[in-house]
Amino acid sequence: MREYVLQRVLQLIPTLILISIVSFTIIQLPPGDYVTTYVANLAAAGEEVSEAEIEALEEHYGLNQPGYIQYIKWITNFVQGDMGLSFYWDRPVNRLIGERLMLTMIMSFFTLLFVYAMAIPIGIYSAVRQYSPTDYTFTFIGFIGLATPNFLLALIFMYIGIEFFDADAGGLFSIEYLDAPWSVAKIWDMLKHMWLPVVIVGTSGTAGTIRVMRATTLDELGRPYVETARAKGLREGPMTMKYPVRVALNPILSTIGWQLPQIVSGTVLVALVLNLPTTGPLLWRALMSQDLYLAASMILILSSLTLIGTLISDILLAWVDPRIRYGERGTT
Amino acid sequence: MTVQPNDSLLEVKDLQTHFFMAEGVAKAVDSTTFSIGRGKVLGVVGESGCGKSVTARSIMRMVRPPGHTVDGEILYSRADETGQTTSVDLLQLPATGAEMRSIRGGEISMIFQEPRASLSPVHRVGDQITENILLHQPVTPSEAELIAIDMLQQVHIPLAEQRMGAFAHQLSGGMCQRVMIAMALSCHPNLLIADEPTTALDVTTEAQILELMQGLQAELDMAIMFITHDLGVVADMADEVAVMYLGKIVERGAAADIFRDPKHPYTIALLESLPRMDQKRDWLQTIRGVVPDPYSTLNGCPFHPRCADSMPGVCDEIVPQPISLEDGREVRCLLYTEHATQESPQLAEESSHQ
Repeated sequence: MREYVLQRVLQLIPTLILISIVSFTIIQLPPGDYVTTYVANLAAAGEEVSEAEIEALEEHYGLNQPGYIQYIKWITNFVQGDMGLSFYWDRPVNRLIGERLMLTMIMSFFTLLFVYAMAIPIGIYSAVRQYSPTDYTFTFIGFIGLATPNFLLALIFMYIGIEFFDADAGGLFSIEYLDAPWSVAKIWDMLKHMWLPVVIVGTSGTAGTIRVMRATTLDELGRPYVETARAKGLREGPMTMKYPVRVALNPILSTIGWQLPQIVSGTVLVALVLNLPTTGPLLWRALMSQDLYLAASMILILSSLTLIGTLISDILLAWVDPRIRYGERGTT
Repeated sequence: MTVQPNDSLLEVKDLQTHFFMAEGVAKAVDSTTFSIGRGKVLGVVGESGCGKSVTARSIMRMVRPPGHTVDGEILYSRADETGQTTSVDLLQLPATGAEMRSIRGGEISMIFQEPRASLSPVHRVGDQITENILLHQPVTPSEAELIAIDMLQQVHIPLAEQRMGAFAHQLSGGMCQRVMIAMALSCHPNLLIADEPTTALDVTTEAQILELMQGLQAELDMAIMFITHDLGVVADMADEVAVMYLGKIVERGAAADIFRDPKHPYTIALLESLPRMDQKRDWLQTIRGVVPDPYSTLNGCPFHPRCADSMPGVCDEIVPQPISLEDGREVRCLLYTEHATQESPQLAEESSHQ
């Protein structure tokens, strides 16, 4: 088991290097750079910018150097914990991202928790009572959940909140806590605000996971080992939980890896609509203005989180499924 | 509950298990009657889909929807608290109730066709065996573990203690079936239902498993209902044989009698389709036609479209009922009734000696 974990961790390194190169390159792919965008914006506003000024700007941001030099400079600083300067905000990327990243992670965590807490029991129930009215109801609700775009849900909830409950559905904090230092009261305030975006972002994930859980449980319910367990004289309920559900959970665990990026990217639009101080709106703005270091750093961090998510789900899977754990030296 | 004077352990009477499908009602088991004596081996033979496995699951009360046991009696003799033998109709017990659950796995246990798939992929085999013991016997977990190790030794698993911690995928198919047998026998059942236990195994392993089962059967004095489509295995194992066709038992009797002198045309055809060492044949004999689909409603005898001795106007109109022959044999065929006399003098002569 320890070898397996170590091996998986080592495999992360080349992947991360590749991702950093790709994310850096992709942001540079569109014609022009931050300075061109900036100058174009100034020109549109009727301001003249001289050649010398442009060169000075490029010099200032290091954009006059070839791409690979920029990359090497950025990545060397990055591993030392300095993610460079945001052109647009004119502030260090570290300070810009810090709190937003934490909030994003907290929100992702709660969203995952919400998705699994809802989807797993419903999926099991739908499978065990296949074709019952309840199964059909959940299937129907599930498809609606899958088909409704998150941002639309967010708008609907905001409308309902403002119209009927006189509540402000936007943001993660009440005004009095907005700039307050962290305290128990602030965390409580955040949690009170967070459930709504969590539900909105988690809806499609929940709907999808219900389908997966239902399908895998149905699959497992028909396996011979379930019949063996039944033939022992076990009670049907505990037997279902101990055998087929236990096995059906494996694919769910292995999807944590790709649930995470889905949640993070799913929050972008919702975060814009609901005005959430997460990474989503920041990333969106950074990409729009070709804010090189900010965008690349955020993409690299989010991809790393995804990879870590995958790693965690792989380790969990190996932990619960002996067939994977002993895969390399299966004996017959 | 009535006091059961005779020595039969299980008496199945007119069992009907039907599957209610969108395509219609499939009568997987259609008025099947047989009995299993204490400590005897009954071989149940038939082609795929003839209702062998559904019969077994009906006895275990494990038929899953859309299947339902709609009629019949399954009288099971068991000792009550006072030591008196009483008989219980298993069909009268709630399928998931406490009494049925204590019989299932404790007094009647079952092993299956695919040994590896029949073991949980994520639980250690030792835990799966001790689970069964703890469920039916008043022992502590550590005692149960000792019983489990002892059972693994009884089924000749080497290094039994270490194997307790193994997972199904680490064992060979034969080993998995041994584990299944150890699990099924861990509570000393009165009846073991073996649903094609050697079909998925290679011939050498099959022979070992059969030998093991015979040894344990004699040792533990339990009855076995041995389901198979392999007539050779039945000849080897069974005291009595029941031949099933389309949900009905068409012939039953002592194994020796049936192999020496089969009565039903289907049994005759089955035996003729076996390869034989003493005759060189270019082609194996087959039974013409295929098993009709279970939703069809055939008039008369269900075997008549494929029967070599079918009597037009008789077999396609009258549903044959079980007919008792000498030596406690029974056959469900119109050739052994008065209908046969006018149609086929040769067969009438054959049946006249009854």
